[in-house]
Amino acid sequence: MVQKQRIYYARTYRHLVQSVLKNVLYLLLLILPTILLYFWGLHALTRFISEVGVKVLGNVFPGIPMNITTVSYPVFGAVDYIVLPTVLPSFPFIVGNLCVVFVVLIFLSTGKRKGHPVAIYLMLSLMSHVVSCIFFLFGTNHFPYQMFHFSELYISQQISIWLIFIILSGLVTGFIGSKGYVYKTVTFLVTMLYSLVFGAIRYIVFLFILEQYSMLYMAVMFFVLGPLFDFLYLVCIYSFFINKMTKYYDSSKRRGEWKWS
Amino acid sequence: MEMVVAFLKGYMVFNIILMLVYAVRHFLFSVNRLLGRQRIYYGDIYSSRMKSISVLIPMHNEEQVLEYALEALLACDYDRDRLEIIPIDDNSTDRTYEMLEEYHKKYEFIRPIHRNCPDRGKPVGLNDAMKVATGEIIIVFDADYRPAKDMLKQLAIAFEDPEVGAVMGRVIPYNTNKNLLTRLINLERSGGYQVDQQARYNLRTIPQYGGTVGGFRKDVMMEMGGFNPAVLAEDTELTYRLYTHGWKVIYANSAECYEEAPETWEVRARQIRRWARGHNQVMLRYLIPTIFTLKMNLREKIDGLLLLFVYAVPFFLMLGWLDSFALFFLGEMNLFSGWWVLLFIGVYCSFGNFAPFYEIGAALILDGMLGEIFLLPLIMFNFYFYMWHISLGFLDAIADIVTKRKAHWAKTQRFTSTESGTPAAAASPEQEQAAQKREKA
Repeated sequence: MVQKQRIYYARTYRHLVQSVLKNVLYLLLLILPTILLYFWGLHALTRFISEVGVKVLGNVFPGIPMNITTVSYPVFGAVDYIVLPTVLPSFPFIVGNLCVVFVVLIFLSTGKRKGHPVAIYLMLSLMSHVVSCIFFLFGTNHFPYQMFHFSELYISQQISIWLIFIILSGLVTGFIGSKGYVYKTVTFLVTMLYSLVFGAIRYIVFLFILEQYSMLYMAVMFFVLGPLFDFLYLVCIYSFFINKMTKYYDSSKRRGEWKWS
Repeated sequence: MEMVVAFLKGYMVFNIILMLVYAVRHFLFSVNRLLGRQRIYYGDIYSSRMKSISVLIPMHNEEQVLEYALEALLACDYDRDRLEIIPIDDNSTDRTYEMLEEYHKKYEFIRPIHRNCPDRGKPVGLNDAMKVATGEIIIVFDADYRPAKDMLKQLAIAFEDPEVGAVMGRVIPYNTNKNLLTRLINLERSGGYQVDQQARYNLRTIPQYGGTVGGFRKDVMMEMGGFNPAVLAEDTELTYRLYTHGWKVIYANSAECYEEAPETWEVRARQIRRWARGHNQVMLRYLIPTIFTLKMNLREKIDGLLLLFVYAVPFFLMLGWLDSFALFFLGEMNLFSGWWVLLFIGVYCSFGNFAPFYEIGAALILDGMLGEIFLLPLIMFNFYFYMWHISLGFLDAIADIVTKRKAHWAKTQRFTSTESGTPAAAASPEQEQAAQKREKA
């Protein structure tokens, strides 16, 4: 007869002990101050990112005029962003892009790759570039955005993502039992730190690409490499956190954290 | 042009609100399941005389798996004189017929019915089987499911409660480690049952009867005219039919049953497209009755409506994606002149997208599953896969209504290996001939 080496807890109706007081304190002592800090330092933060961006891009594109502009939003207050000259794509460049994209689309829609989730994701993503290419092919002069539009849209989108990530990370870490607050706090801080660094670096890289290779890639940047990637690293960090919490709550020391009712 | 832009913007706002509503729903479910008091199933109730049950197993070319299902059922703990097993051999062309007859010879209470008619499909098969079934309770398993020993008792005991019209157990894939797809399905199943279904049961909203690993009262079903053959998702239809007639569906998280998850993306795509088509057929039929019925309370109605739209949402999101494209090239990225668009964009991109992940994370903590959670980011790519195939299923359902065409049942391909260790081949010519002879007879 096979003997079990270990009897696991019944998982069916178990749930974690909750402490409303601890949850509220976590939100009040960590999340709320972070939100206040965010509003207090938003202008300085965007100013810092813009200054770094101007410094980096100034080295890459010497002689190109670039400056920092301020826009003011109600509640959020002043926000800075970089203004660069607009570069439109040439006809051969558009046709070249279109050809490459069509080859990749054919590759993705045939053989074993056909119907695979990654292939579907890439195909839908590339479609945005196809539309962009076709638009520029026939109506370059009608493209409704200048470089400063992109810059402002990116920054406004990013500041909203930062704010929502503070709230979202607080909620998803705060309501998992009443223990492990060190892990919860670390996860929250890592998420926010990563979000700030990633958002800033991506901003500068996007501006570089648009300045170097033209506005043809603006649609891709919004629809493929935009908020979706913020969401991806959030889920990555979250998965590490959940794995840690699973280990933590299933350790022999934490038996008291489970209830069966 | 202004009208067009206003419409496009309006649709975008609708999409954002829709995402938010579902995000809040999933978040509430997760918190309730993680921290709330759980509503316990009827596991502690004992009955000296259990209700008589008929276990129905729809089968179409199931020679690869039927043995496992029947052996698992034979090992189940239930009074033999209160139990009958009715495998429904639905136009099989492989060895299903012969194998079932062998079982019938050995066990009197295994009484297969053999259907040889052009009208194939699970709902019609179940209707035929219910006509000959003698049990008070009908319990349904798919042929690839392997019930645990106490499964039948656990499901049948629920019907001691006179309010209960149907019961649903928990489904767990047994081929989890086969490949990446099966591991991802395992994560989705965990979130769907451990958190979503149990939370709906806790909150007294609408736990869903899933068509297998569950049961219902035969007399109620017969009074309501049996399953509707025109609907592919007979399980969802039964859920709504019961609720709109004043019955309850309950969820038995402790009644675990093991299923074979699809092992190829192609099969998974067909499966979810069929689910989407069937679910949306039900949505179009039960939208009005759910709103106006007096048999459901407000909480059930709200969740019932949200559940009805679950397989329509990916289509709405797909349109939203195209909509945002149009707005982008029209230079209308700022939806409103106000600053609150910033919040909306953030909420749309994070809360809405994140909601199902939170459910899965909560489920994995409750199930104590380590390591698997690292696959969670890959589910993001599945989102596009599902969006595409579910949208196709939604369009199928619309076309069904418009053209009044009949939906044909399509069985999910099995992957279980035969005794020789290789996947079972399609029916041989001899088997096909034997089946044709039976059909003529």
